Amino acid sequence: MTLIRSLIIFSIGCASLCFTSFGFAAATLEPVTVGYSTFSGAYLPLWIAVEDRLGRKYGLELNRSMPAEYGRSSFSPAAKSRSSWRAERVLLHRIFSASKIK
Amino acid sequence: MTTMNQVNSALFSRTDIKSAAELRGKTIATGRPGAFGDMMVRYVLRAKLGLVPDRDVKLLAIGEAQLAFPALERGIVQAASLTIPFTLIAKKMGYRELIDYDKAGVVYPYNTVTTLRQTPAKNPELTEKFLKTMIEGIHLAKTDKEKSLAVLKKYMKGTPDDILEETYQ
Repeated sequence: MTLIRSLIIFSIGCASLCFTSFGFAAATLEPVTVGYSTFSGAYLPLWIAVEDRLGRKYGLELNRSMPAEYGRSSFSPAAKSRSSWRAERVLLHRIFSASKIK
Repeated sequence: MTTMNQVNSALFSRTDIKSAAELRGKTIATGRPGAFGDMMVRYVLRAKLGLVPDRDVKLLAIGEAQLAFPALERGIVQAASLTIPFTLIAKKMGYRELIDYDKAGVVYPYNTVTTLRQTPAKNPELTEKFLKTMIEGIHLAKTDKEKSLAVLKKYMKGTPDDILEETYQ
């Protein structure tokens, strides 16, 4: 019985150590935030890297950052307003659902 | 580093303009002065189409493609330099593609990852790890179409599947 109890305690100890080391590894991931500014498929490699957490293999936690969900013009200072952002979403929706020109 | 060396841009006009030569005297929508769109259209006009910007054609700095496209639609300009996905939308709507910059041989670091000069100097290990991560991202984007389309669909919300497919191509 003593041997079994010792083995159980040892197993729990090993398991705790494993979880602790995993926890330690997760805690040591270095966060890297990559910003992007437009609504473009050109960012696909970055998006895949974030989605698949490709950086974890190298100890990085890759994050993405975009000011708005859709790209907006930096030409217009008004683009910083939320109403302008909504207007562009409406415009994009209209264009995507547009038919051929007459 | 650059993740893409194609510019995915083209010059589109209304259908009454049949060729690039007919742009003479017309107005073209471009991006902010000095920015990519403006610089690229000036280069293409001069190097690929034999037109001198601001002499043969008038350039109107409308802004990004989101704004240039409606300007073309409403007749404010007769042509516009557009980037993807507006190139695909313009094609779909029947506008005339006068020149595709990539097909014309333009090579340009269209999409780059940049950081402060001091970052790689202070932390070369982090920079190397980040570059390796991005290289894997580029590899997957080039080799795993199914995954790529799923990610594009998630990030480019509301974009129709045919446009996502062409964006991927």
